[in-house]
Amino acid sequence: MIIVSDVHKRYQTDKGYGKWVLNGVSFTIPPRVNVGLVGPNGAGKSTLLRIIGGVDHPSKGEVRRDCSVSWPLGFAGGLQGTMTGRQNAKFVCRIHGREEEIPEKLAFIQDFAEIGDAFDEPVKSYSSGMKSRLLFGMSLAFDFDVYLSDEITAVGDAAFRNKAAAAFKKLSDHAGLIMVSHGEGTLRQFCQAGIWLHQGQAYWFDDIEDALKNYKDSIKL
Amino acid sequence: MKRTRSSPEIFFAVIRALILREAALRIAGGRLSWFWLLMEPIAHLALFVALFGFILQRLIPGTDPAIFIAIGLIGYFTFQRTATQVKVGISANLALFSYRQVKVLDTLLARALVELVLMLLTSGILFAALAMIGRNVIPDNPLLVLGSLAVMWLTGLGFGLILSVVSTLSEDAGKVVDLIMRPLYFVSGVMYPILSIQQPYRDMLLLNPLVHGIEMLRHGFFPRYSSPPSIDLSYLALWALAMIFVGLLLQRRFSQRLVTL
Repeated sequence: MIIVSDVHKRYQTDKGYGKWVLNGVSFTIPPRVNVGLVGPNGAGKSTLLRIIGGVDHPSKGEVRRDCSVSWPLGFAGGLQGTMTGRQNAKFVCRIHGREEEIPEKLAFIQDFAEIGDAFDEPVKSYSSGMKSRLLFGMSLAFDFDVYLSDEITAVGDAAFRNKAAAAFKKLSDHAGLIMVSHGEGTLRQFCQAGIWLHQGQAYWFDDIEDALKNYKDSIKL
Repeated sequence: MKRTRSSPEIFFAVIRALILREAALRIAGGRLSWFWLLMEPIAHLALFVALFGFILQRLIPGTDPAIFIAIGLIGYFTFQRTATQVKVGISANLALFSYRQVKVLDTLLARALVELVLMLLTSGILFAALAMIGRNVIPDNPLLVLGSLAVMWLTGLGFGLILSVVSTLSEDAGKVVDLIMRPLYFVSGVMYPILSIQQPYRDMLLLNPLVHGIEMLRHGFFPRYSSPPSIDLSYLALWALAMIFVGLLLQRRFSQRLVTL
């Protein structure tokens, strides 16, 4: 369960504080529910995801996590370009768990990512699809209760997306997913519930279709 | 519910992972990168030792000029390289802050530790080379040498902690600090015994805490080296403590702004 209560967020800019990106956002995500975050560019979707993941902090309000949450899977960071896929994976294994599990986890990641020999090449030589395969594999190697995904499946090919979806179907009896995506198909494929971010507020919908409908109505106007 | 790890457990796991990562990163540049990693400071040291230690042969009572220069440089570099590495630590590790386990301070500590190990390796190689050409490289008081080096390192860490915040928050302030740092080399007594400086300038130089560390290092090597009676390692230690305190305070105060920028 993740409880977001009255979260406000604004960033410091060169000219003082910027406007409120999130302005009093509250909702509760029950266990094992897959949620899609929808909203226009700059609505604060990634910011909210980072706050839920604990890598960014709200200016006001709080987030309570009663479960293990993955890091936000996205392209903003998480992979060091000059190091190989294996070295990156090792680093994440080391900060998440015990040393003796590393070989087993590495084998899993290499197997899931299906990037072949590129696993031992520097990450900067990867395509964005390969990066997302690696990141996704890395996160699945650990039994998180909730996975956070920021457009990570957007660049994957159909095979990878199906594989990721199958992995999540398998996980769905004990894990949930919170994802940011502009792809309606992706959202429908992965999520049941939806959160629509609109003018700094968040609206919860039990059905992702309702969230998408509201979002689309808001941009038509 | 899985077993949750305690904070110290996570801290040590992260520090370990960061040190290994930092070490891997430093030698990942190519086949010879481990060689250059050590060669760069060694070449610098060797040049200065050759220049001032052998060629000039300035007579400094009770010392071997080559060793005199070498330990001055090692002491100064232990401070300066640590401070520089810690200073740029935040921007170099931005990609890692998407893992909530990794805190800014962890990355900075790991960098400082890696730098310390590198510095010890470099000094070891340099002294081995000096020993091979017949110099006496065994310190008179090894404990004093190690202690002084440790305090120099802590001072570098504290200074770096402050600089990392200052230069992340304001690029201009970072440049000003770089400007001030440059002459530090010349007013720290790296190349000369502090007693060779005339008053009142000597007392002014003695305000610089680094002078105390470097002079103390020399005392550790040469039993008959003479320096002013006011040389005091605890003066440097106090500076180190104060800077680490201020550094940690700044890190805590600005922790949110350091990463989001």
